[in-house]
Amino acid sequence: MKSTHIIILLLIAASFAIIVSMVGDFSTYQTFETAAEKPGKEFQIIAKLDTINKTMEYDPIKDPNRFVFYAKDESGISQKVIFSGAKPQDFERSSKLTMTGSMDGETFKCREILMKCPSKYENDQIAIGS
Amino acid sequence: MEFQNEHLIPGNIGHFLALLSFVASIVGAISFFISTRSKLPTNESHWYRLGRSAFTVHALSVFGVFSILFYLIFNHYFEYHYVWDHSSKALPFKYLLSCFWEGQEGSFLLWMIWHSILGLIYLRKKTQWTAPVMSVVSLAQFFLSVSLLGLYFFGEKIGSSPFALLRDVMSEAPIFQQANYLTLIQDGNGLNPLLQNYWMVIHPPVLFLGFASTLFPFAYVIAALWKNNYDNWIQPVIKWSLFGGMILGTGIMMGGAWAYESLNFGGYWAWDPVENSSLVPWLVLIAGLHTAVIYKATKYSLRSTLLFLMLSFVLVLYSTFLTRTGILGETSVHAFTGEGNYLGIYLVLFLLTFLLGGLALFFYRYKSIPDHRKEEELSSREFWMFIGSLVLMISVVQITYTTSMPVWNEIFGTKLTVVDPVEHYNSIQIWLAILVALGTALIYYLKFKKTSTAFFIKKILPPFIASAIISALIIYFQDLSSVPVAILMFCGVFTVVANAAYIAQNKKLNIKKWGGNMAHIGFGLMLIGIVLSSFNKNVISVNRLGVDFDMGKETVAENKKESRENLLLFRDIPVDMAGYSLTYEGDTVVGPDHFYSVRYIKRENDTGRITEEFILKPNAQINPKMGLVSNPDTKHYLTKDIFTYITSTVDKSKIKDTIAFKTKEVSVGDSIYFTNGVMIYRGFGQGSDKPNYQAQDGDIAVTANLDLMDLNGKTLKANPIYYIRNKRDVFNPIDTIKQFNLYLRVNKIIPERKTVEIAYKQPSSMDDYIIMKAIEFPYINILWIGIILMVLGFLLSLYKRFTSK
Repeated sequence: MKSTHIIILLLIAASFAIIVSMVGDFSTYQTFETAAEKPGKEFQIIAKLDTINKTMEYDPIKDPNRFVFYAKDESGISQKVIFSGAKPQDFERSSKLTMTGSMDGETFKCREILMKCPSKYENDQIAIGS
Repeated sequence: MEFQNEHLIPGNIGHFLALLSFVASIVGAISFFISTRSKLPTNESHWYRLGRSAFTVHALSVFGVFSILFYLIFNHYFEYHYVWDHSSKALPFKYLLSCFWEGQEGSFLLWMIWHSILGLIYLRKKTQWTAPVMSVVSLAQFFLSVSLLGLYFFGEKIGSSPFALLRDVMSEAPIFQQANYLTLIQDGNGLNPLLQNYWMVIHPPVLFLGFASTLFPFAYVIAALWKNNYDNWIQPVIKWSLFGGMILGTGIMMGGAWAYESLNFGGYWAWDPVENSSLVPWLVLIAGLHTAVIYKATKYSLRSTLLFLMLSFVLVLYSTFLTRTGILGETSVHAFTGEGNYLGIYLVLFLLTFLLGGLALFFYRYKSIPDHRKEEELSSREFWMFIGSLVLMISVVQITYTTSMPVWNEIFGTKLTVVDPVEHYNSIQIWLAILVALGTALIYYLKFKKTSTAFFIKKILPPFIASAIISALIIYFQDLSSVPVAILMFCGVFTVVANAAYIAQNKKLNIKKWGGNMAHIGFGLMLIGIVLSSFNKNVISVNRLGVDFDMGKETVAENKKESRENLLLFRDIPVDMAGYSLTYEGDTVVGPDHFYSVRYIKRENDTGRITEEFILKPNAQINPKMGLVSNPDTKHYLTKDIFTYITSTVDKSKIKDTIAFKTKEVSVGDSIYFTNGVMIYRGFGQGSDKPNYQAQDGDIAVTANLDLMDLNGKTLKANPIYYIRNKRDVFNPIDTIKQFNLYLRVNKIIPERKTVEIAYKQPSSMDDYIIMKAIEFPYINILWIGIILMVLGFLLSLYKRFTSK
């Protein structure tokens, strides 16, 4: 076998190793319940903001990096979420949240939120002036 | 019903031209096709001329459509849906261009314009490749023109026209029952505020020119396979690939610069799917460019060249599919979305036609593609260049695989996701970058065919040692504590040093020949810049207020870092941050934007003397549709950037006005002290130019002239007005002194004592605050310099190929 072949084989082996090593980075979107089975491990959860009988707490004067709210995941369970950051503006209007974080007891500790606002996309509202 | 005030003529012309461009592209494609297949020279040239005329008509129609759409946007004709949807009256001229390419129709039009321009330039000189290449170009234009038709065939709407009327698109809305509906539409929907940035005026055209220029290498591949002829083929292919590599690379990095300047994810690259999907075609193009160079020099690697250059354009189509159909929805912050199901189907058809057509032709010709039987030498340049291209392709496979996750989820019904995408890509791509950089450093020291080991070692040893020393110093002083990062740093330095040394030894001042080395030096510098600015990227706005809470991190330090990246600044209360004293001094409003002034002061430790002082004005737009849209402001130093942006702010309109006015009677020369300063009453003045006062006949108006001075010695004049109208009505409007956060009014004038009574109040500064984040990017300028050198390297190579035969 030629040495060039060996190098190409090595390269193929390396790409294989890369693909194998990638597997660990993937996970499925979780619900609060499934995320709670592995406390401390990071997951992504798709949820909706839950404001029915629940309040959002954000007091920047006390701590600008702590924002507490409730979210309802795709299975319909509502859970307390602590976000370690400033409350995103117009958070109330978000239609869908993709949250990254981990469960800790009864709360979801969230370090990143991707918000989808319906208004950003639904342009089909005509503003009528007088 | 007859609608009033509509401008329907330009739209009708536009419709017609779109249709004409569609028909002409079919005629062009067929004519060039027949011309290519003709055996008789008379036939061939007859069809060629027809094809050329058809393409010219097509290109002119596209220009026409483009101009008309711009004319509509420019004149704010909101009866057109596209104009209403993407623009508004208040936008400055340059952003009207951004409106143009915000939507799918406009961006496809931009793409078509570039194909047309490149096609017209290409048609100026006829070679054996012109007809087959132009058949492919015309076919691509055919597909793109379909998307602009907006016509119904057999009950199915094909394409969407940029000239569709608002009243047709939203026929349900009740206002279209009125003939004068246009008078009710005051303004358009406006442009996404994130796109209101000068980079967004220039980045899309450059990116689309890059996309357009990948079509030509693709067309050349098809032409060569079709004619089964590879003579005189590689020179134009290399030129087009160099051009495409240069433009597309520039376009991508302009996107990075835009992200750095106007988005607040804190960087120039976030491995966002939209970024990835434009990077991937570029990487494939670069792989193809290198194998093309191998083929030109040694006749090796023809098959990979064909395949790579073919894939590059197909991946451009794939990128369009990913970004325009909204399939990325959950993974991307970019605001494109589903523009209808038809678009997805149409783009898949477009993509499959070009992919499967190309692959079928490739495998049909596979056996007859010239191939070297002999193995490459292990010590040859071509072998290692080929390996380098393969590594680029591995990188492409990995990026594409992960980026396509939403597509896999759609196909297989799974719900897979990557929790930490940045870490995921970085941890894999860093090793590939190391391999590529190592190859880039060594490659010029290898000769085509065969290199003697002694020669190689003798030449490479000095730059190797020099790089080892330089990178060791950088690694030590910059504290690059991660092993792969340190290795990458070495490889980046090695790339720069080895290529610079190669220029010094072999090319001297023959600048024309510097191209390849220079692009490689640029690449090395980019790596160095990326490592320094991202590994040592430092969030300096660590908060000192508030409580800690457990973020589930391993160490206390990590917990703190996680939880305290946002800093609260009350108005006028200095806070220490990373050696600076920061003061939020209030906001100014310009149009929809709020600019928040944050003063940075650096003092000498012992004496307290100010050594440095500057103001950053990050802005935030409270957008009615999107909420707070924050644009950072950056202080640029030679060796670092300080990047500041607003994460949250108070809505001033919601602060309750609870503070009462205080009053004081003063005569000329008297002072009034307030929280952060003093004002001195200087006597009466004339007040006719006040914005809150319109003079009328018979008014008696005076102003109280006040000199204001704050604690820092900053001075300002104020002159609240007091006037009597109709001899009996007294008016004394409030004057707002924003810079002092002060409200003033003349309560009354007391002539007998020659005094006035001034009322004043200051809302508490606790009511006015911002929450901001500040990030330090060290040595980011090295990255920008690297990019510029890389582009210049491409330009030099291109220049050399055009001037030397």
